[in-house]
Amino acid sequence: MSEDPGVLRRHLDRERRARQAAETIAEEKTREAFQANESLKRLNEDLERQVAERTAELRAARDEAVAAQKELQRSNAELENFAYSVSHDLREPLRMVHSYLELIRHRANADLPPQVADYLDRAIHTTERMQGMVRGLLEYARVTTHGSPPAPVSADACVKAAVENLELGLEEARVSITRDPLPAVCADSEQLARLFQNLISNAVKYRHPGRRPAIHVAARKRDDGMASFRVSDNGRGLAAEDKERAFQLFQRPGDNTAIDGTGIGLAVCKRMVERHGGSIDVESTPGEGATFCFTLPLAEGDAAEGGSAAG
Amino acid sequence: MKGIVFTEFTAFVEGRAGLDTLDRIIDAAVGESGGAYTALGTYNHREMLGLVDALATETGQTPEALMTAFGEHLFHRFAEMNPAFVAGLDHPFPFLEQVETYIHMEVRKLYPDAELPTIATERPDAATLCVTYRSRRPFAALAHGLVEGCLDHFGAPVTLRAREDLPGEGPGTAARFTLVAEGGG
Ligand code: HEM
Ligand SMILES: Nc1ncnc2c1ncn2[C@@H]1O[C@H](COP(=O)(O)OP(=O)(O)OP(=O)(O)O)[C@@H](O)[C@H]1O
Ligand SMILES: [Mg+2]
Repeated sequence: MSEDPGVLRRHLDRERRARQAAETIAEEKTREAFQANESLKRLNEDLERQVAERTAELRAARDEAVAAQKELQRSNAELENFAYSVSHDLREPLRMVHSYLELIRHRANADLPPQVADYLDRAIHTTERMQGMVRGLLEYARVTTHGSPPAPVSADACVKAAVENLELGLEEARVSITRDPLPAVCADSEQLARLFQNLISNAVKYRHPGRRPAIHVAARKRDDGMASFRVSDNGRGLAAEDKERAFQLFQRPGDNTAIDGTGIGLAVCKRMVERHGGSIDVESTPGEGATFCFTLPLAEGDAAEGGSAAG
Repeated sequence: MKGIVFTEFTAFVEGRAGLDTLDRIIDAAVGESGGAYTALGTYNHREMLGLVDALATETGQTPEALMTAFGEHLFHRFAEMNPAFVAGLDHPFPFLEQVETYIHMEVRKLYPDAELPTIATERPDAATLCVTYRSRRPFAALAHGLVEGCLDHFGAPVTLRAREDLPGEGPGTAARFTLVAEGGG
């Protein structure tokens, strides 16, 4: 400590000013902290409001999407019912037209000038084609309007049923069919049999002229709960640019002048597979054969086992 | 420069040389209206250089020697005020290695306007630590004192083998301190 009162007084004065400065700074900091806190609060409120707004917007958008989806489902169903009733109701008058034309041919054939007889033949043939188309359309519409709910079913049994239905044709063409053990899937069993039947009959229909038809059916269990099936043949195959069209209704790409058909089979297959949540595709080397691959959900028990069925 | 350095300096001068000397050097360096330092404030670092110069004139010692002595004192005070920084360590090497990466980092969080140097370290071998000070301000002597204070604090057998001034932004803005642990790392 100093003895000099002047020194002490100045020291005291400095200390006092330092304290005032400290207080001013402390006050300033407190105000800053308060304001920072206030603006944080505002920011927070702002954010909460924005989140609420955004949530409301999203909810409204979702409701709208759900409504649109429902509307789409409704109009789809309406269209399917319409296609079904139209094709259903067209059958009868078409059958009548066909019958009368046949009757005319039967009764008057000998008296008809050759040109008119030719027109009549063409009219009858066209009517038959139309009947085939209407039948196909009806079958196509029925996939969704008249399907049974999917249930566990043995794919083996469905292939067997398909082969039995085709028996005559298969024997005639001396077809060899082999199959691996197939898993159980969750499907409409009638439709699954129909699916195999369409694919196998195509394999025979579009066979290679120089080979005895051989068909093999294989399947593999996938990790995602789906079974993937492969129906392979050694037929004429199809060109890459025809693959997509082959699955479209009434489309018959390729040279089919000598082969009857309406272009319905694969469209029905695709619709059935998609109705079960699967997809269908074709791999082919033209001239060597084609392999149709499709997926279907595995039945509960078979899915749990995992791994692969023989394949 | 943060007020804490100034309040520690005035306490250092008062403790070593008395209130009369402190009164005179403040008067000589910053005049009668200045010298009212608070730890919460921030002051021009030149004021610190002025105070040390005035103390040199008063005592006949070099400003260098006085700044270093103050640095040594300041280290002990820093360690006292921030026990967490030195806790758990028993050797100056690991401590000095985290001044840049931890301690001064914490200082900057607390005082965004702090003017801090860079304190780089390097171990050429297990027993040697090189501490390199670089700053825009000429406080190499203060760093020197802080290093001495650090060695003193830990009491480990480490000596300051060499202090080498490096070219920097002006005299006293860069220096390298070579520390050697006796008996190998
Ligand atoms: C517990 C340990 C330490 C603490 C809490 C600490 C904290 C601080 C603080 C608060 C400042 C003032 C910043 C400003 O003026 O804005 C400072 C500056 C400084 N520190 Fe540290 N420090 C420590 C250790 C060290 C050590 C060990 C060294 C040296 C190797 C060092 C070198 C310096 C130097 C040289 C300056 C000021 C010079 C300049 O501005 O260039 N510090 N430190
Ligand atoms: N196994 C196959 N090999 C080669 N081409 C095929 C095979 N299966 C189908 N295709 C091609 O895809 C087209 C469409 O087949 P899809 O089964 O849909 O109709 P279709 O057999 O012509 O008539 P439908 O089955 O309705 O009687 C066929 O015309 C044929 O060109
Ligand atoms: Mg077909």
